[in-house]
Amino acid sequence: MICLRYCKNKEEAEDVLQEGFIRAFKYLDQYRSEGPFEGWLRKIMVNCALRKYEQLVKQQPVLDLEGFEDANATLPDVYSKMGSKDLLALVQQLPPACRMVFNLYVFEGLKHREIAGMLGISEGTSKSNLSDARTLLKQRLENINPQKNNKPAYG
Amino acid sequence: MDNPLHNIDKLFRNLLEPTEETPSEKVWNNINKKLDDQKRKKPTTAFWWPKTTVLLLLFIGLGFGGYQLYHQKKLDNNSKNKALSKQNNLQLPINNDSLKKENLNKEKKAEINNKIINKAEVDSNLKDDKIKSKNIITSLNKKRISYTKKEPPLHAINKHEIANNKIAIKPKFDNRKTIVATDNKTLKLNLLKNKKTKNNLTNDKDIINGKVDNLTNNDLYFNKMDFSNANKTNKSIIGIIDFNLNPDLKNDEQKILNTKKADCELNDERMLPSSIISDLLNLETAHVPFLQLTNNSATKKTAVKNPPLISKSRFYISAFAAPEWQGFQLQDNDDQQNNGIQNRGGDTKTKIMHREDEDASLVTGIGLGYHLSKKLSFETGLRYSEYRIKTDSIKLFAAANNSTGTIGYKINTSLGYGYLNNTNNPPAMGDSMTIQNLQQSVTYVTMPVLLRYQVGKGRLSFNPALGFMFNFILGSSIHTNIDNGQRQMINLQGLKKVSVGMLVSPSIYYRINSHISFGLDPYLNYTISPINKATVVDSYPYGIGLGATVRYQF
Repeated sequence: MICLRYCKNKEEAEDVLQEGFIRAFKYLDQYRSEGPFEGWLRKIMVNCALRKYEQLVKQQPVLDLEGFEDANATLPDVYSKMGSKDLLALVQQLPPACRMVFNLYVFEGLKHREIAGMLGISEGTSKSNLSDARTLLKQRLENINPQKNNKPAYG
Repeated sequence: MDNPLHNIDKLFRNLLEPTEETPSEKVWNNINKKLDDQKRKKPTTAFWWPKTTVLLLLFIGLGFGGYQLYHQKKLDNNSKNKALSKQNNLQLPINNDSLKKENLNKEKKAEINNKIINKAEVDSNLKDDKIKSKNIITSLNKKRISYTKKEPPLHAINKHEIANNKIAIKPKFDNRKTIVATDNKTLKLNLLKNKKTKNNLTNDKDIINGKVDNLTNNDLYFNKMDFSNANKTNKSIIGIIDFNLNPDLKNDEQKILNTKKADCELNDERMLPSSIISDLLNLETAHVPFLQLTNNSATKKTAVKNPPLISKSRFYISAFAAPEWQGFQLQDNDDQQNNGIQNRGGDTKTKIMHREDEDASLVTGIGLGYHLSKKLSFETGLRYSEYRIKTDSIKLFAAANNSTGTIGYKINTSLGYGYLNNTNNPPAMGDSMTIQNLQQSVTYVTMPVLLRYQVGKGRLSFNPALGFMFNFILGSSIHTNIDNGQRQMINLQGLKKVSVGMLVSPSIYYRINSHISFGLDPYLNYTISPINKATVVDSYPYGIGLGATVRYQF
């Protein structure tokens, strides 16, 4: 699930998972048993996801909100069966920069200063990306939730 | 109002965190395959092991080769001496007119010698070399010579005689000894007695034979020293030194023997240091162990199985090779802003240590040593080492290179920093990029300055050493692949030209003979001054090595 959250689709997540496990085996001797193994493995997975993101950034500039706007058309029907998979889809469809900051902030509990260091961005950018991610997610949830907007999503 | 949209973070965290998703079978297969590939590749990464093994074998081979050569030479000398010793009444080729007059008195002198040494008895003792050799009276030198510049008192002169190739040594040792040759050749052996001991100085004038100072260093072949029965035949003679004159000696090559003045002081008056004899007779010290001269028949006289292997020279040289594992103690530079250090990536010692892997390196070198005393020696030398540090992946940020005035991607490492200039796509401030497979290398020449103390007198000794080392940087670089896969070399900056460290080495040495020793040199070094400046982190390298040393003492 960690890898899925940081990636835009399952294929990319599986790449990250694969890389993460290989690195985990490679550096297994560096695991000092000071903390839970799960946490150590999680850190590796997150780092691999960050690497993947960096490669993505290198290949093409970050698209900011464009990707998310385009994804609206293919948004699954989360209205009737709002569940983890649907929320995951929303996260996955966030613009990469927003997705990374959102994940690191919400799920890893990192601070903006730390996120800025890891992603090579300023704290302001980190805050801005998080704010954008929240806004976009909120908009998507509101759009597909008839109870909130008092109007059906379909029909 | 309990609308989850009000806390969207919590909503996602609660719903997504506990969820699990099973990856496809393909992922596990790929992981298995890649791990297998890595295992197969591993032996190629440890390329230095075969190199080190070959080098160690080379050292061992050279050492044994040298020993064999030395041993062969020794055997050749012995066989030659034996052949010469069979010759009776060796004649010195003396054509010097000035000596002819003295030759007339040869017979007379020989008679005197016979009286003194009791020639018949001595000769009978020396008939069978093999039997005699078993009874060589030698003794391990348990007492050491201390050097002094004092001149010996001239009044205390005692004599030793040579008769028909024999040198007799009187039992009563005093301040000065002179070995006199009957054939008008004189070897002077000057010894200082210990101040603590008192001797009954004797003036055995009848022992005196003529003396001539013309004797080359190569005149004598030293066969053996035999004191086994001397005291029985003549109480005044406690030992015989058997020697032969060099038949190859040419008259015109005769040189005046440089008489060695008293330069040693004996702790025990009865101890005749082999170094003095060997010095005078031009012998290899290994052949002449220390002699304990005494007329006490109760004294144990046993052949020494392992004579002390002491070389007369204080200097020695050595060759050294060691695999070394290096690490870094890093300290964050807290004053980066004031020093104008650009660190947009927020590199810290933790981040740098996490991403870097140090390779083991091979250190080779030569050394020069000087014995300050029997146990303490001073060592220095030069050691060459090359260190490699690998980094899998690193994110770089554009920064101004003050030395060139251009903008490049700055690389911060444990050693220093560098600027990657991507010529295809010149960076602008604020740009960043990730590079893979970064390798730093730095070469050093290190000069150790050590004090080594020897514990143990035998062949095997413990020789701990402690001292400083001065590292002089020869070159440094960073190699990496950029976007198009092209290999690029980056100048590694920020390294100091000289750094100082401490070195401790609990070495063990095994002495093959008086000249050659092998040593096992485990060592630990630690740099006490940072090797870099104006960098994100201050680095203090340390290294643990296991060296092999071959030492040759002159």
